[in-house]
Amino acid sequence: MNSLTLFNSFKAESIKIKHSPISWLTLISGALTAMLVTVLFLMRGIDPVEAGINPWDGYFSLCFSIFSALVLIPFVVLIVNALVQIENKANSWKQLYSLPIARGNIYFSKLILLLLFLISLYLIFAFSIIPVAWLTGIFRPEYAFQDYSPAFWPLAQRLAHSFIALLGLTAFHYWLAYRWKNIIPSIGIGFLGFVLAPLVLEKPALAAFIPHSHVSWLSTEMSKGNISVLSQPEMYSLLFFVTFICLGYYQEKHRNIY
Amino acid sequence: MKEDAIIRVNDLHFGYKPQSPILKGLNLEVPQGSIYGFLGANGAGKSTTIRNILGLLKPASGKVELFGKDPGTHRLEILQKVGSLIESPSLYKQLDARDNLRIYCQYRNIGKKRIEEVLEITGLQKHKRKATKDYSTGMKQRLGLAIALLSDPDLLILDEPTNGLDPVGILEIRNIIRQLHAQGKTIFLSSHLLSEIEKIASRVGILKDGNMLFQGSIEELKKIRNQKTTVLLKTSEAKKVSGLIPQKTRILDDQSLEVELQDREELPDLLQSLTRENIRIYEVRELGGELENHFIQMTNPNQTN
Repeated sequence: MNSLTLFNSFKAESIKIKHSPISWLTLISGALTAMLVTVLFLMRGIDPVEAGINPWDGYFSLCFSIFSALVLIPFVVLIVNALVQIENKANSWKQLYSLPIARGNIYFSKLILLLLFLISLYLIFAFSIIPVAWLTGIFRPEYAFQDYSPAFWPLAQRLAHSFIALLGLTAFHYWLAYRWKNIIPSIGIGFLGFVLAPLVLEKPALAAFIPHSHVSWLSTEMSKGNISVLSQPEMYSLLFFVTFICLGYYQEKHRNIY
Repeated sequence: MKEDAIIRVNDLHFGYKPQSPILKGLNLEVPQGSIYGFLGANGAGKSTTIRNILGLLKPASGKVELFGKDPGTHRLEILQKVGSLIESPSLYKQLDARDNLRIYCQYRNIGKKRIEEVLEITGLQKHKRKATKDYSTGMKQRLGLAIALLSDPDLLILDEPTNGLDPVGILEIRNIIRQLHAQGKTIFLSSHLLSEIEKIASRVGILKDGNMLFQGSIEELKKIRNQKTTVLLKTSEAKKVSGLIPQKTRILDDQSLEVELQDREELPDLLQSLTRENIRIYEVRELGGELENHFIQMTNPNQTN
């Protein structure tokens, strides 16, 4: 595997997603939190953030909680499967692995594309929640969004921590998507994880081994203010990431293509 | 063994499960510049052999060589010179022909100019902007062939390229293969249709149950066929004929039977002897066309047509 062929493989992967719903899925998922928060602010009798004090920190926490609990897990499960299923639908593994390129090129170029979509998701999330807050400030001045400036640096830090906490889940589902041609088991496991994640949040010993819970666990730690350079959920997430990416690569390299 | 063999397979064993082997000591040799027809009934192990040759499956034992080199240690170097179409073509159906070809150009680091060339060769220029999900089976096969041709390979491995095509589609693919062969390419072509292989191949390998039954030139196969044949006799008394002659027979009805001849030269003597016995012969017909019957006999000896 060299950087030129990896780059070429990445370009090939980019062509494959043309006319596929992957870009739309990313856009809608990224903006979903902002849409939900807008609905919350429009509903009378609910105060999503405390009025009268600097609302930005509470607002970002609220957005991150919704994003972590409702958006991230379904998005990862869907996008990972969508990217890998492209090959199953085209029946193209036999053709790809008969090409004069290392199998790792295909495996890692797909992974890079996947990570770029995750980064895009975070950017769309960030750039959609801020305008919603500013607009809320105009229509609901009691929340005082316009009296204070948002703290962008802590927001960037939260985004980075959340991204790291999501890597384990991403690698785990990437591995699953390669194992099964059928999308159902992977979606089923994703759904199970989605249901289990909030239930194990108070039990870190259990949450550590369920990658679906890492982002929500991180969100809980953040709301308690327990954030260091790398939090516990991030460390477990990185451990999952390295383990499942390496395992997946090894298995893919030696897989028989029937 | 000849030095100029492009593909050489020695004693290849493979099975999806150890207790049910598919390839049982397969030997195969494809000379440079030939069109090698790889024949076998469905399920004989043709696609499995091709997947072993291309390194998609790992053999249990045995040796595969392409261009005189071991694909295990020279995989990338070997695959640079190989284009393949394995069973149904691998197409990204939401994309048009150009985009499908662009994907493989990227992987192979080939300039876009080649896309137009292979579209021209395969006659898909007019349809290059159409999503491949709207392609006919024949157009998909031609696009699969175009993908295989992108790198202008020395060796083309085509697994059942005429599968599911109508006669016009078969003719088109056959003509393309002939043109490519004329350009000096070696073509390894698998099929379950002897009539198809016979029209195009210079060498033939017949596979049955994971073993090679025959390997040689079409002429050699025809010679074998001349030695052994089956004839249909329509006569006044089929049962009586069956009792009179030493050859193996199969009675079809009161007036017709099949007679298996070890050599075609037995036929005049057989007819003479029946005439002497006052048995009327109404029809004598050699069964099957060309090599077809012989192929069926080789791959399935319990069946005659």
